[in-house]
Parts: sequence; structure tokens; C-alpha cells
Amino acid sequence: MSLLELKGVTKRFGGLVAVDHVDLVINEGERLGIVGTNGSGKTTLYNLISGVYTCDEGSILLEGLDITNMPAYKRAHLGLARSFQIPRPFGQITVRENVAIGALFGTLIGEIGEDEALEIGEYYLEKVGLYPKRNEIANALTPIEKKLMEVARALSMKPRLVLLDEAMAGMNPKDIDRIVEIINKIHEEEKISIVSMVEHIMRAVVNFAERVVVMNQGKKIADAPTQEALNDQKVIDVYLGRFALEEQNA
Amino acid sequence: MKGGKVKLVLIALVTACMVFPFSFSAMAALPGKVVIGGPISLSGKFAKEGQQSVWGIKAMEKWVNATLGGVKIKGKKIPVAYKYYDDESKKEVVTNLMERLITKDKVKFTLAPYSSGLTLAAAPIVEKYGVLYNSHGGASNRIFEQGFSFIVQTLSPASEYQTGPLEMIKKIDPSAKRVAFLFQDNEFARAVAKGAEAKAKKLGFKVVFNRTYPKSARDLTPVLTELKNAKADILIGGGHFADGQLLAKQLDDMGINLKLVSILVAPTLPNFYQALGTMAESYMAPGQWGIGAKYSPAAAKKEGIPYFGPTQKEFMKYFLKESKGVKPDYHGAEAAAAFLAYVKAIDAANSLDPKVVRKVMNKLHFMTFFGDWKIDPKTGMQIAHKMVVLQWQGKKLQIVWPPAAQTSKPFYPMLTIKQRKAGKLAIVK
Amino acid sequence: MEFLRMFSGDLINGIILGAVYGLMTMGLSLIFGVLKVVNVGHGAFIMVGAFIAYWMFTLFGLPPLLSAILALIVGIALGFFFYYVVMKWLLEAPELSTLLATFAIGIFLAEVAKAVWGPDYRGYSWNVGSLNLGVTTIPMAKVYALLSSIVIAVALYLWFKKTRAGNALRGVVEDKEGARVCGINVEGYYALSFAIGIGLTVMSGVFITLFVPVGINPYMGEVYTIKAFVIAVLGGLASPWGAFFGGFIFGLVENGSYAILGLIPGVEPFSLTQCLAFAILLVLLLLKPEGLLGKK
Repeated sequence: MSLLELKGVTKRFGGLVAVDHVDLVINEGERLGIVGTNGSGKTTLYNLISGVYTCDEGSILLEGLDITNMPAYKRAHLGLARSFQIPRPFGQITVRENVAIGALFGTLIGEIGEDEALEIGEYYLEKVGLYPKRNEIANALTPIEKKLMEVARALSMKPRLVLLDEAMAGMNPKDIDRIVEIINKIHEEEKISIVSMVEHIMRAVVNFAERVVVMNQGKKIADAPTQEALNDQKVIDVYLGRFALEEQNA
Repeated sequence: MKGGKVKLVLIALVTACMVFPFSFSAMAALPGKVVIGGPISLSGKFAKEGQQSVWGIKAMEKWVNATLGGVKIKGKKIPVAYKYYDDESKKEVVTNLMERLITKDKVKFTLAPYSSGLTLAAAPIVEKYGVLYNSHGGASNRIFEQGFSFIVQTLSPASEYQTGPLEMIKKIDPSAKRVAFLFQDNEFARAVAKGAEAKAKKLGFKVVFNRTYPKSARDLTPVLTELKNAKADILIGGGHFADGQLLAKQLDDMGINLKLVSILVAPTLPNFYQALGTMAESYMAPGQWGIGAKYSPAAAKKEGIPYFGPTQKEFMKYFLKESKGVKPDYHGAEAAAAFLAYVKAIDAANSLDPKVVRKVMNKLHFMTFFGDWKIDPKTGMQIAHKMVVLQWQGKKLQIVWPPAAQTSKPFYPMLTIKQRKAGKLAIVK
Repeated sequence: MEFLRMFSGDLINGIILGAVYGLMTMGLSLIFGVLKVVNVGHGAFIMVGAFIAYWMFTLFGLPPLLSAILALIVGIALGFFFYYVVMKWLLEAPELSTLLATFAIGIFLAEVAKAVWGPDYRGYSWNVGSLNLGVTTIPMAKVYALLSSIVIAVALYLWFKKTRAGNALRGVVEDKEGARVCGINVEGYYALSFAIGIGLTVMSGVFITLFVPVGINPYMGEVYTIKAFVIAVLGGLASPWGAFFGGFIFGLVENGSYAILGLIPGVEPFSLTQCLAFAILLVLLLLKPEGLLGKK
């Protein structure tokens, strides 16, 4: 059985079809990359999976369980974790408290207390390299540190599947590499499914994903192992040499 | 010859036909009943006082018709009728209703609504139409400083509210000269304070403390700390219900013992005793009237003025019938007295012309169960009615001043905090 | 020196008053912090608490410290009721709707109270002696109010920091969507916050009667609504303990300044204490616009 299955998932906003009958399967322990420009529908897709939006059509199954109409917070209890394009920390509380909240309300909800949650939080802060900053107020972190904190918070939820929004526009290659390295390492140790969503920064996708899904205008136009997808004619046509540009800058 | 006689008879007949209806209409110039009325609050924040007023007036309507047959004009008895509408305690409604009463119901003798604010609101309308207006629930002096010529007052004005305790002290303990004033900062209390200060000066008191507190104050400890240091003999003050209760409570909390304390409004209610228990004993308050006031035909005779209207007992009887058992407080009494004042004045004027009646009122001085009635000819303000001073004695409110009205001698000096805490009652032996 | 005696007496009374002010405002701040709803009917709930204290004492002789617990329970129940019946439906609507709704709830409560209990002013006397501190005498009832307020404020602080629910609320206050994907049932916590906020407010009504045990009537709440708003702004609208400290300062200034203002000749000190308290609020806001403990 697959971990997550989307069947014919559709979302409309007024006259605009943001996600158009998308089928998608995510397996246990996969490293999946979703690629698409702004307006391709990938952010909406993420919101549909995590439960921030409800589908107009289609269904979502988590290990066979129909979660199509389940509220977002309940999906979190079942093992879905997610980070945001622009980090959304709980700004006025400390880093370790931020991450601990993930632990308290993730899959371990009701089983652990404050202290255990803080321990779990600190473990993942260590993993992402933020342990030294654990007592700082979250708002004081740099943007990349905030991103890493969100990753740590998502991981503290002890999820089955992590949806990472890697929109890394404006980040320098060194930072991108750092994040990718951390995520790969975590995947190796935790054996959880990680989906990484990017616009078109190939560095992140190529070094991380086993499989790539390409979105364009709400539809899935490619779904194949990484190199195959990136060399797909349809994909190249859509991006029209943008890849070549990136390759040059890499 | 025959034609001439017929002509004469015809002329006589025609003349008679012409004269006869005139004399009929001259008789019909006197209405079937004299309507006295006004807006009154049966809902909204003055509902309680308004209801008391209605009961009081209705009681008098029935007494006057039953006992006197009504008013007496040119030898004829015309029954009186009371007309009223609910003003919802709102200014806009009061003015609308007053217009209606005067223009549609053709009332020439109007009774003001309850409260100084509403009384003032309707006054210009009465003035416009030149009908009479009797204030029974508006004590503010300001009403009578506006130059209205058709308004009269039955209850004591604000400036007289706290003068009674001063007169009383002067008589029973001339050595107590240090007086403290502590009033709430509102328009009415300021008028009371002004009158009391003037009286204190006149009687030779020393004002050792004179402060106000805001309406929203919920803790008077700072100002009471100052009061404690002033070492006054008597305290005069207050404002309304809630702050009056608070003042009494905090005086006790702060351990301030005085020889006499007279607070506006709050101690006149049974809730005051219920809230404070025996700590309320010997507190005083001014009132327009109290049950058992000793105003009577005998007392009037002593003063050398006529007595008009029901006795205390008769008033009680008629009132209880209207209220179905609810006892009258001074709101009901003052409204009743206003109605009676009209009847007395109309009788004395022998006319239903408001201008004539108003003029006659200037010469009247009489007593009712409510007390004396005499107005200042220029402003119409009440100048003879005296506020009574009420005091909690032995779990009951007694009238202790003026002597003409008292049901018990004053308990002086006040019980100390220690004594009251021990449960001692302020009973005069 | 006479002045020092009076002044220190005023300060002590001010601290006690301030604690009660603070307690009374915490519920308001909590509701605003979590739901971004301004509870204009705040005072009416205080009135409910005051009546609970009155009736429990008058009918059953129950001491106010115990009726406070009852008041908390009643308040929480009322909070849940009004949340699910009214507030829930208006959370997405423009702010004016919630303002009107809470305003209407306040009036509704006052009118029901008037219909059931009458408009008369009630009071009761809980005599538990007084504390003589030399410069001033304080009824023990007020001391109990002070102690209880502090205990409750500390308890609330710990609840926020240490419990799962408290942490969830802190998350919800910071970022609703972030909290949601972390697994926090945001809507459920809205209801809980509203209920606890109302519960705190009703309970504070009991403590207010320890301070002002007379003048209890259906319309008594209005005065407190205005004061609570000022204190909430002073303390940082969304922060319950900011409200608590703000209340302290407000009470301190209101009472404590009396002696100082009394030194100025020809001035009515009492009316000025209110002005001074508001003036200090304005100055503080200019210096720190988000309030004492407010967040930028």
C-alpha cells in the first residue's frame, strides 16, 4: 500500500482551476521532488494535502484511510507535517519552545508531556544545527535559521510524511546545499517520506529527489525518476531553456 | 292688532332661541371633568419612581372625587381625572407626549415627569402653550432659574436637601461646629452642596473638609484618609444609591467615627440596611417625606395655616389600594401632593384659566400630608416645604426632623463603629 | 510626617486595588489575544460574578472565596455557550460584527439580570476583621482579594507555560495557520480561550465584591468595562499578565497620586487621579506603543 494517494484531486478558485484532476502516489520512505513555477498549482496541492484547503473534487487517502474531509490538525496527528514557503515561527517564544509545540501536537499527542516534548525538540534542533540558538526568541533568527527551525519543528511531530516547501529564491548555493545535506541525512536516519517542493532550482532537486513530479497550470505533466523527468520534452518545452540558465549559474 | 302681537311673540321666540343656546354654552363652558396629567416613566431607568408617582396621583384622584366631589368652580363641583402616558424615561418621548397632552388632550394643568432632567426637558413646551406645570420629581434649582413663568414646584429644591441636618445640629448640639462635605461630582449633588455650604456659613459652622469624588470611583479610601485627618464632627454628602452605600461602608472600614452622618439617597432604601446590617444604625438621610410624618390638621393649626387633602392615614389607605399593598415612598407622596396642590389652587382661584390659577398660587400657603406648600412668586420654586431627616433606629427608618414631622427624637451622637459592630441598635429611650 | 503617612497608606491601598483591577482585565486580554475579539460586554460578566457572590452569601452563607470557584465554573459554561451560539459564527466576519455581538450580549445579560433580580442595589457584609498597618486600616476581605488575585495570575502564567493547552494557545496567538499544521485544533482552542476568558471575568466579579460589597445591581458593569479597556491597552492588549501588571500600575497611580495631588492648592485631587492615570497611560503608549508587555 502506498503512504499517500491522491485521486483526481481538483481545486477551483472562482473561475480559475488551480489544481486540475491530479493523481499522485507517494510511497513510504520516498524522496520526492515537486517542481513547478509560480501559478503551476504546486502550493495549492500542498495546501490540499495538508488540509489547509478542501478538495472540490477527488479524494486523498493516507495509508488507505480517506482523509479528504479531515481537518488539518487531525491530519497532523496522523503523521502529516509541513513547512511553509515563508517561515511561520511562533515569533515571540523561544526556539526550543517552538519546536516542542510540534512534538506536543504531532503523532505523539496525548502520550508525552512538556518535558519530553522539549527533549524531542532539542534532539531535532541538534540535527539541523540550531541547538546553540535554542533559547533565543524565534523572531531573532536569520531567514535560513527560521527555515531550519521549521524543519526541526515538522520533524518533532514524528511524522510519516514531511512536506517541505523549499522555495529558495534568493538563497546562495552554499545555504541551499546545507539544507539539502541536512534533509538527506534526516531521511537516512528517520526513514520517513519527504516531499520537497521547489520552483526550478535544480541544485536542490537533483541532489535530493529520487522521483520528480512536474506541475504546470494545475496539471501534472511529468511523474518519473529525476533524470528522466528533467529530460522529458514536455518539461523542457515548458521551461524553455530556463534549466539551461540554471545549469549555467550552478 | 293681532298681527302686532304675533310679531312680538315671534321676536320674543327668536330672541329666546338666540339667547337660550348661549346661556347653555355658558354653562357648557365648564367641562364635564378637569383633566390633570403628564408623562411619567413606567419603563426605563425611572420605572420604579414613576410607578410610585402614578399610584400616588391616582390615589389622590380618587380621594378628591370621593371626598370633595372634585374641584369647585363657580359653585359647581367638577370631578377631576388623571391622564398619563409612559415616557420610557426618555427625553424625546417626554417632549412628544407633553405636546400631545396639551394639544390633543387639552390638558391645562400638567404634572412634570420624574427626574430633574426630564422635568427640564418638557418645560419649554409648557411655556410655549401657556399651561401650568407642577414639578414633583425635579428638584434641581436650575429648572427654576430659566425664567419660565408657568412652572411651579411641590417638592423641596436641591439646595434644601442637606440643610435640615445642619439646623438640627445647631439646635441639639451647638458645640458641634466642625462640618465636612463629601459629595459625588454630579449636577444634582453640586446643587445640594451649594445650598448646604451656604446654610453652614449662615449658621456659623466651620467647614473643615470639602471634597468631591467622581461618579466612577469604586474606592474612596484616599479621600477618606484625608477626611479622617480633618477631625470633623459631622459629615454631609453622598450622591446616589451605589456610591452612598460605598461611602457608608468605607467610613466604617477606615475606622472614621463621627457624631452625625447624613448621606443623600442611599440610606432611604431598605437595601441600605440589608447590605450593611446593624452597621447602618444611626445613619441619616434627607427625604422629601417619610411614612408616619406628623403633618396633620393639628400641626397646620399650630402653624396658623390651612390643612388640605387626606390625613396621613387616609393617604396610606388610598395609596395601598392603588398599589395593591406596596408601601408609598416619597416619590409617591410628592406626586400626590402636586395633584392636591392643583386642586387647592383651582378651588382658590375659582377658575380654570391657567394664568389666573398661577397668580393665585402666589398667595397660597397651606399644609398637606406631604408638608408645607408655598412658592416663590417669581420663579415658582417651592420655599416652604421642608425636607425631613430620616434616621435608621432599631432597624426602622424614623423621621427625626423637623419637629412638626418627627416620629422619633434624633439619636445623637451616632453609634460608634465598635458599638455597631457589637450589634447595638440606635433606639431613643 | 503627616503627608508620608497618608501617601504610604494610599500606596498600599493602591496596590490592593491594582491587583483586583488586574485580575478583572485578564479575561479581556486573553480573549483579544487569542480570538482578536474585543469583548465590549465585559462589564456584564463582572456583574454576573458579583451577583453570584451576593446570592451565595445571602442565601447560603457561602464565603466569597468559595463562590469564586463557582463563579469560575459558571463563567466557563457561559463562555462556551456564547462561543458556540454566537461568537463562532462571527469570527470570519468584519470586526464590527463581533463588537456588536459582544455589546448585545452585555446588554442582554444586564436586562435578564434586571428582570430576574430587579434593579435594586444590593450588598452584603462579609466581616472577617481588618488589618491595622499603622498608616492605614485594611479590611481582611481586601487582603484576601489581593492574595487571590496574585495566586490566580501566577496559576494562569504557569498554565500557559507548562500545560499542553497553554502551549497550544501560545501557538494560536502567534500564528493560526502554523499552529493548525502543527496539529493544534485552532477552532477548539478558540472556544476554550473564550470560555476561560469569560470564566476569569465572572470570577473577578466575586473579588470585586470583596472590594466593593455594596451597590451590586444589573448595570454595575459599565464602569468596569471602561477601566478594563484602559488597563488592557496599558498592559498590551493581548497579554493577560501585561493586563495584570497594567492593573497594578493603574490602581497604584489612581490611589497613590491622591496625596500628591492634594498638595496642589485649589485642586480637587480625586477627579485628577483619574486624569493622571489616563495621562500616564498615554505617555506609556507613546514610549511603548504595544503596551507594557505587548509584543511588537
